[in-house]
Amino acid sequence: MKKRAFTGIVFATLVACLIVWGIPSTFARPHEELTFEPIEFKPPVPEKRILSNGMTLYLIEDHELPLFNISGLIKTGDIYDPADKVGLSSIFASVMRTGGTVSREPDALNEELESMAASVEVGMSREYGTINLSTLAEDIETGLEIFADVLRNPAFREDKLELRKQQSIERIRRRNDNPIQLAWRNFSALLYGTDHPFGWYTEIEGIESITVDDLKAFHAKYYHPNNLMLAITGDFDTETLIAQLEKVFEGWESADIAFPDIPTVDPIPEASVNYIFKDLPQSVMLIGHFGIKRTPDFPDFFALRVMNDILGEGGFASRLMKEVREKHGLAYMVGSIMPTSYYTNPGEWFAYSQTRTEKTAEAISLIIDVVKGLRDTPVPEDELQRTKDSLINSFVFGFESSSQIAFQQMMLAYRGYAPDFLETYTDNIAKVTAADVQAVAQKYLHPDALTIVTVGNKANFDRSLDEFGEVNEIEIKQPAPPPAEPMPEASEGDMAKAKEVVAAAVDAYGGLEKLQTVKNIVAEGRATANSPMGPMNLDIKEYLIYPDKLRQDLKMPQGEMSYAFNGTSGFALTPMGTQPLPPEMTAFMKDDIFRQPVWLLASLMKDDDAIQYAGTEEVMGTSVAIVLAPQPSGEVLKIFISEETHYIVKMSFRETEQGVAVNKEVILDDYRDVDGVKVPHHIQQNVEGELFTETRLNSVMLNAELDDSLFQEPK
Amino acid sequence: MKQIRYLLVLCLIALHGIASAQDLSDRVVEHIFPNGLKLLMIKRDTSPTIAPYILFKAGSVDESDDTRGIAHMLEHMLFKGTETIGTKDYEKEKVVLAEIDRIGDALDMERAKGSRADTDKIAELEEALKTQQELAKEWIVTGEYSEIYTQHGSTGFNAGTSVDYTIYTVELPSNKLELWAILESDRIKNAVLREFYVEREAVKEERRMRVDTRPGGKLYEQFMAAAFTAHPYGIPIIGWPSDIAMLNRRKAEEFFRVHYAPNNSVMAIIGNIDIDETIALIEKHFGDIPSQPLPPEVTTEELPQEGERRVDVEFDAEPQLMIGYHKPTLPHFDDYVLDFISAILSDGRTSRFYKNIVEKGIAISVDSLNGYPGARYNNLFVLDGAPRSPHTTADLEAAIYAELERLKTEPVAEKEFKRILKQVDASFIRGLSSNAGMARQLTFYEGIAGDWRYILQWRENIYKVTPEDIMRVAKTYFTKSNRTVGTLVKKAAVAPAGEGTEGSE
Repeated sequence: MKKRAFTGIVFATLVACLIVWGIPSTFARPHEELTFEPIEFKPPVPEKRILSNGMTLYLIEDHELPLFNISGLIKTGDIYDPADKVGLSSIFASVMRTGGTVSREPDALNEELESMAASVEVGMSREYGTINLSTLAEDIETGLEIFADVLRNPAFREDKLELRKQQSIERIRRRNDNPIQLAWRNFSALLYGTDHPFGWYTEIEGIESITVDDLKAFHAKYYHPNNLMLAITGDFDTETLIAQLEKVFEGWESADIAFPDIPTVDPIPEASVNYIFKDLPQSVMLIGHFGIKRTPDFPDFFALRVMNDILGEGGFASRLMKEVREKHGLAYMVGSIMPTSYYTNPGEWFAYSQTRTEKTAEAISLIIDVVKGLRDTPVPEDELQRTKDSLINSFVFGFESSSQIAFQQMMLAYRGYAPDFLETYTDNIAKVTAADVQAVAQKYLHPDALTIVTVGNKANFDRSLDEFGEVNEIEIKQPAPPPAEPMPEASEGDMAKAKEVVAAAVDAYGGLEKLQTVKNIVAEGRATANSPMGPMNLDIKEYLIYPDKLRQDLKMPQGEMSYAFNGTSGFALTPMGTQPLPPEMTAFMKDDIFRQPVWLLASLMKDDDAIQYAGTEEVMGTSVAIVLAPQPSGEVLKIFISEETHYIVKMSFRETEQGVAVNKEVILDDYRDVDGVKVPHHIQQNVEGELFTETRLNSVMLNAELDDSLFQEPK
Repeated sequence: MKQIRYLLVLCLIALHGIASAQDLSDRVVEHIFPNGLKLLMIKRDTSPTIAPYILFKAGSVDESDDTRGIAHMLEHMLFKGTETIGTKDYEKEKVVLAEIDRIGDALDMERAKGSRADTDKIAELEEALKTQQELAKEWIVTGEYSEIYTQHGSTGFNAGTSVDYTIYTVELPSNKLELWAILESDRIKNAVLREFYVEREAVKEERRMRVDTRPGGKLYEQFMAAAFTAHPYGIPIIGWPSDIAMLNRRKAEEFFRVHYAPNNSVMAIIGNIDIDETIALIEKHFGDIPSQPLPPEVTTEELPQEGERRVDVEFDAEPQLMIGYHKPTLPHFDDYVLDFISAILSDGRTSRFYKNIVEKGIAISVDSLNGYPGARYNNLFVLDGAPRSPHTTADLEAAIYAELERLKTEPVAEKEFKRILKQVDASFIRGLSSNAGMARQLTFYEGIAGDWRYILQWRENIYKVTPEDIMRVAKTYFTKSNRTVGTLVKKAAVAPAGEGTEGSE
């Protein structure tokens, strides 16, 4: 067998002098005859300074390249999200940057940074927040000023919050696309429960409830100089820089922060076997249990590090890789992760694999056997030595750049590692014995109490997952759209007043009898739509048939398109072919037909116990009465009726499109008489307060002869 | 090993600079050995580490019809050891390996008959193969080659196969340079492609992971296949499943013999080195590898596209979009202009896509990439993104076209120009701060552009781009008939019976 190539990098003193050395081995193969010249390396040591406002700095001057970097660390994190607003802190971090500052509009901020090829970025992790600056050395002064501005004076502009919320919601909609993400979300939630910060995940409702005030409160709570550390590296002069920092942070006071209590779990593992259906040719499996919460004095750390490298974190040399991939060809990606740095909770320890469906159970049992092996049998001496050598020899890669070194120092301090952690690291690894590895395996690995999450298609599994325990089948639903806003409670007076307003309107439109004779409406006109590429003109022809049919023919520059809905189902005719309309869209169409003023007023007269009066308002210079009525979808329709003409001048309502609530308005004017009925000829639609379409009708016909084929899908 | 698929977007934009252009040309030391091997070095003493990389100009485009996927498969096999590493006794092992090849071939041939295959014969052969594989285990030391690197403190030990090339990467403490030279030259001279059929299963898993279970991977593969009808750029690097199933050791060895020649490779060693000693060391270990005649370049040319191509991919996932326009590869001047255009469209929060598409809520992501899937031959300018509901891929497509149209008609403002040029220069300087990054850049441009100085010329050319060039290039390439559009479409749910039928009882 091979002999180990005994080489090591040793931290000698506090000045961190690394020595790489080696002795020759006696074996014949060329690589084993090598000796390795010792290398002496004194990595730069960050200088620790405290600003007058309490901010801690780790500084390394590095004049190799004309660059300047700051990595900031804030004591906060996802764990401080309120339970009913999960996702707040990550949205906060994003909008802290995109929302600009009090004195810098977002566009101006972006322009200023990018025109000097600089960046300021804000991030959020489970147990900390980050803020980074990167500039060329020539722009340090401006860079610092902007960095401080973002830290101190973020504006959290409403529109940027709204955009970020929409993006979060879209990501929620997409979160089941990727089987690994799907498995991971459920794995954490199974271990911690969805009411624990380590187990919860964002939902649309929570995201929607986040307000600018929430972001401001989060900032006010955690973003203080005494809660911030900066690792600063690059081409600068320390004393000049300190003076610059004092200046940009002048007047920023430290503050006492009451950190909310984070619930800690009792990490007693419990066996559970979970299955999520996804029709794919490969299963994703996560197998594990609670991880390890680090304590300031954490003697098991080194044996654990060695153990998990042997198990599955040591790349191609690890056991999981060798067994599952190299010997059995059961995976491309396989390994294990053991977090040992969380300080509030133990995190998650897990092994993972992606294996063809027909070998799912085989791969799971192979992984479990590998885990058991570490508990049952001491690690052979050569494997132990190889792993320790690997950790010791690669240690130098933690010191490749000054930014890495400074950041590492700051992080160790943040996480409360022993001050001599780095200096004693290689010695401590070298001391680990096979008995130590087996002891930590027995203490921390529990192959009899594993949480298993498998995403795949069990119809094609090699064996049932029952052999691992009773299977809990998790059903994944596409996030549901939020429920309709209910009608407010109304007094009898409100209802009576509503009837009065509607009755006046019915008269103004031509009288109930007249309105009831209208069986269909055919309108033609020209519309301007605000499309993503600018205003677009289209010719529109609309057929409405009482009570529930609607067809629209659109002529656009790029071709013709039609939508038809027959009261039950619908289809779209496009240049690319015919497609059925999704149920969501047909629901919108039902509401759309319901909103036709002619029929709307008639139906409100008939079914008047559901309507309410909601006061008056000023709309476009006229006083209007507001009437509320439920639409077929359940969403409330707000109708604005002029107190002068008794015409409907505006309607507003909410539509929920694929989980996202959108506020819309329809503005009606240019009322003209058509066969004794008043019909608006100018219709404007706003979406979220912005003009979306504007339509002018040039002809409206009532009770036209219509062909049934309009609503038949072409074969 | 983990291949770097889909061409590493070796962001051109991640290099180059005024201040440092001169610096770089001074710092790169070039040495060509008599056998044609080219060595590029930069001495950088910030830490006692090195990044030695080797690139072979052998990618999936160099395969033939019956060896699709072999470049990538070979890359995996080159981690299996040599005649002295990964074995206890190669002479004895060799006999078993030959038997495994014989049975494996017979098995593949029988399976390839599909429905007409003799299932008894397959079972018999599978049994025989298993027996031989068990026998081989007596001699094989699984994973030893990787273990040696790991033990000596390697990081980033890996390899990647693209359409154009295969690259072998690692970083080591700087006193391990000779170890690297020994191990790498040993694998070029004496590689043994053992455990082939087991690794072939791992490659199939890789394909399932990257393509079959990943919406973006699936779309990319179908999109490329539609965009290229003649040129092998349309064929997936990893190979089609049925091609992978027919790969064997003989084909891998042949590809290895033909393409892994010193005169077809570039080596970069960046870090804490002594230049002269390094040259001597490489000479000592690689100097005796003979140069050899190289196979011809791909001669098949893609015809000009004569009409838009559209491809839908149904998948259990939310919609995504890819659009690609054919264009010439480097060093054509228009390729520089398109690099510039890509920066205008999608670099940063001041970019047009970010401001006019992402901030308008039309998409959660949208990007532009010049030079897919490779750069040795004429390639594509690609735009991709994911719409934000209720917007559809059609909305996103329209929004992208609106931006491309704007490029044709509106001259780019001076402010935008200045910003991009400053970023070009800054990212050049930033690129110099990593050994591994420099090793990758130098091997790539030397291997693919034919000269690492392309990095310097690139910057000069980018500075030559004018607003008129941008309008001209946009008009030339961003045409409907020159584009391919791929859309990931959510698989329609099967509607419960009786729903949506009109007028039936």
